[in-house]
Amino acid sequence: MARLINNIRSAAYAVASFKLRSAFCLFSVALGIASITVIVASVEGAYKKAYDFAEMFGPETVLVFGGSEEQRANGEKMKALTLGDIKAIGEAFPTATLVVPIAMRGGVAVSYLNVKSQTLIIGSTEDYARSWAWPVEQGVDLSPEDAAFGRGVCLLGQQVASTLFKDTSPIGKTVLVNTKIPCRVTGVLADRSASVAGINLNDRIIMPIGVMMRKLMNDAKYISAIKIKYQHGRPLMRSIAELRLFLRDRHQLQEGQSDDFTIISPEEIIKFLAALTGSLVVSLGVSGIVSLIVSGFVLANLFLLSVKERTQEIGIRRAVGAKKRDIFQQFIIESALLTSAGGVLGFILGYGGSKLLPLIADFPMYFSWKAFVIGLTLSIATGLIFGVAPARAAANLNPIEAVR
Amino acid sequence: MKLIELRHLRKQFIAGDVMVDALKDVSLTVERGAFTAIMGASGSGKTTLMNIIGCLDTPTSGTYILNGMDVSTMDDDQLSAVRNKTIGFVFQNFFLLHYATVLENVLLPTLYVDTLRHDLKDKAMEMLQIVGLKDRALFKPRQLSGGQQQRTAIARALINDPDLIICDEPTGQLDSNTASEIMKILTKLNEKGKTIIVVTHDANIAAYAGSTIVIKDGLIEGG
Repeated sequence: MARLINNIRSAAYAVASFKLRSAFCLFSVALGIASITVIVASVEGAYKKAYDFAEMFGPETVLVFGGSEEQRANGEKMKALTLGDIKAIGEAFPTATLVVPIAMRGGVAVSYLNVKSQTLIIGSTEDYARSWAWPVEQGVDLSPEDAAFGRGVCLLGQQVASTLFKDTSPIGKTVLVNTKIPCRVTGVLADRSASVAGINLNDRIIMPIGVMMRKLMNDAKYISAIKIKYQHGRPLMRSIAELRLFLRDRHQLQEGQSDDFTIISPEEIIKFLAALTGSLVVSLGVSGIVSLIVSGFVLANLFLLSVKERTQEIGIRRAVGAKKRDIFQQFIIESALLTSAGGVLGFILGYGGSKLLPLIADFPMYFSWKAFVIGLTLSIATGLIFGVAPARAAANLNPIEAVR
Repeated sequence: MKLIELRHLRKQFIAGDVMVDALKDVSLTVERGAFTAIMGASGSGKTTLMNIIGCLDTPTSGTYILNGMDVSTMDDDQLSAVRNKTIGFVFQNFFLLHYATVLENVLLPTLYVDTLRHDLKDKAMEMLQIVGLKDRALFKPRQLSGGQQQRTAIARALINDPDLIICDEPTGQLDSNTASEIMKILTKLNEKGKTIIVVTHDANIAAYAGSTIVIKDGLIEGG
């Protein structure tokens, strides 16, 4: 034990004394660890964002879009879901506590007095906010009567509210949608600042679907989507499977014909968002590992040179009683000390660097003890693995040759 | 009492594809408390003999008894322990760690002792006092003269209280005045009971020793 402590001391002393060698090793490891820190932080950030969004989406809800994935990708009109589907689903599935229609139209002009803007208009029911677990912050939610009688009322997203009304309260004021539809503001939705794939959730107006279909969509038959919230406690996958069969049957799809709708669940959202960052993470990951391996070879090289330079030191240590094991320990500890210091420096560099990354791209970063522990473990492992060859060379030096 | 006893020691090297007999048949004894010089020209085998006596090398055949132990059959770890406890080395080129202080250099052999001791620093200062370098304890070797560096090396050789001090051309890098200072220190240590072996080719240095062994072509002359 006393010997091990002494060998650690000797190693630390040498690390402090051979400054140039130490600096090179330190920085080469630090660069590798910095990039790995950034990678771990961005993987964690991506997952955290995905989970946050799934939470926002609602853990026991699904969203049904009109049109298959292929049709949507081709930009074809998604004429599949109707208000009739809403009614039928509500009647067929008692476990579906909320079945909410969603009609959408983007880039619609809105104005209040002479302030003008453009936004996304959503036609829905009084259950819209509840089905998205999205609280109404000022004023009140749409009422069942508002929806049923197709009153000219609406909820504003935070951004629309602040664009049209600045600092004044919008509650009770009337905005003009598409220059001709007057809508009295009953409430403002809470802030949902997380943007997903570049969509700003705060930029929207929600109005009763009846008004929207009649006045904005020319009595169109089809709606964009259906949001369904299920009772707690039933496996969501089963509900999804049943819903799919039900809709296929209702839409009279033959066997072999693909779905004319798409069901999205929170799990799929997590998968999708994770895949979005996945490719970036992979390329960063490869370069991080490569740079760490390169720094390992730099380290091994510098240490092998150092062993040659320090032949006399090794010889004299052996002459005064150091065993091969002592020399091996000293050199491997020198290596591990340097790389772990490089690991800490790398974490600091990575942390600093990743503060800059979100400035150029929407890239979520999340630092936890995990990033630090992974970085430190990898750096120590680098030191131990690449330090073995030089340490062994040092230990096997013949003391007679060394003190000649 | 014998400290060192060599019986029919042989050492062979393979140099390229030739077998070289560095030591052919060496038998000798060194009494405890003796001051012995080993003399010989380069290539005579005196360095090989010194390496074996110093437990830095092992004989091809023959027996070496040091301090009552048969060291000729020991493995590398055991020999390291013997060097640490029983032998102090003083080399021609001093071999100090240039990045460590004089005090730390003197303490070097204590790093490889298994037990932890807390009075080591005092002990090291005591050793520096013996060689007259107490006021240079915190200097780096490069700030010292050659004589001072060699005195540091002697203090290092003394720190673990070895029975035997082996000096390989200890004055080879020094002028004659400094050389005689070093030899006086060694003489004083011998008077205090240390067994000293000096390997040299210089008759003036060998003259400090009580007895001289001359080696030639791997054999002891007149032996």
